[in-house]
Amino acid sequence: MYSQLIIPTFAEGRRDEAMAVIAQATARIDARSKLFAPTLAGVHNGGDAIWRLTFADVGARDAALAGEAWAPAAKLLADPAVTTHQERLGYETSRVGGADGDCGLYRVALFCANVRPDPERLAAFADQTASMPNYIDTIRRWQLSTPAEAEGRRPWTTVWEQEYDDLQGLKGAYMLHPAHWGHVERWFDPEYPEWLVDRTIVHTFCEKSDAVICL
Amino acid sequence: MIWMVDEVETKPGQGQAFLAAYREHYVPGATARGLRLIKEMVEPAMWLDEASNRLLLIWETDSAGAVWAAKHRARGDEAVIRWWTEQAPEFLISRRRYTMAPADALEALDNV
Repeated sequence: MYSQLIIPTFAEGRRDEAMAVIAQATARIDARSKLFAPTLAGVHNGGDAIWRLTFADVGARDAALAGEAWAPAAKLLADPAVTTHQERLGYETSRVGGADGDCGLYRVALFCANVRPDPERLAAFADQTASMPNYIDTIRRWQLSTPAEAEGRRPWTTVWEQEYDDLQGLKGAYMLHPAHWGHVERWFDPEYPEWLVDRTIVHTFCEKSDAVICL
Repeated sequence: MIWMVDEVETKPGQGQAFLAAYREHYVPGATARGLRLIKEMVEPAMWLDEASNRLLLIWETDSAGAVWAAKHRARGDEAVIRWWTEQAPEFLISRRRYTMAPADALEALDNV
């Protein structure tokens, strides 16, 4: 499976129009899973909305985004008078986990591992990140991906997605569990010799109804 | 209680100079970020002129929230980056940093 993620920021006064056009276009696309929702208060570099679709493969993604249904949205996203900034990523499904079932919050973080990256450090970082759901039980579904395509504030190297029942699952257990602040966080902290990840990150989340991450 | 521990091995003859630089360039900022320096431990118990010293510098804080608060303040402080990437390496062969908790507190910390 191949997922496409777009996190747009719209120009003042053009947001409602853009959201309506993109929602209409998204509804006409055939995909394994679809998410398009406004971001919630508290995001960091999180844009105005999260658009994420999963397709059978990259060919299906290409066909969908080149099709007539998506054209009005593509036009708005390509117009800097409407879309002032966007993170755009495409990635194959690789590490994924969790259980079926509804839950109400999707969160994605984008990282750029650019501080002395080497295969061993990158592998250790990925392994520790992927271990977090073993310890933090509010993470209902998760996916850890290396983008095949990435643009935006940084050349993103990592997409870290989770689904929670609600915002408390993210702000509570995820942030306050020692698996986070006492273990994985060292890769993000310039005070640790392990420091790996650029200080500019994207941390954004939105409410949702359907499953986003395909197991 | 949560402890953050800097363990360093200094270059030969640089132990005392490192500690002086740490106190001058790092301790005031870390203290302002809410951490308390509770131990400065040196091994062996003398400054060596022609060999390395090993130091354990132990910081204490009260909670995970305080750890995050200190981290967020350090993250945007270029002086912290400069200390660890430019100034401290002048004195050091190696260093590690640990985030530790009392063994009896682990169950409570896990229950969040």
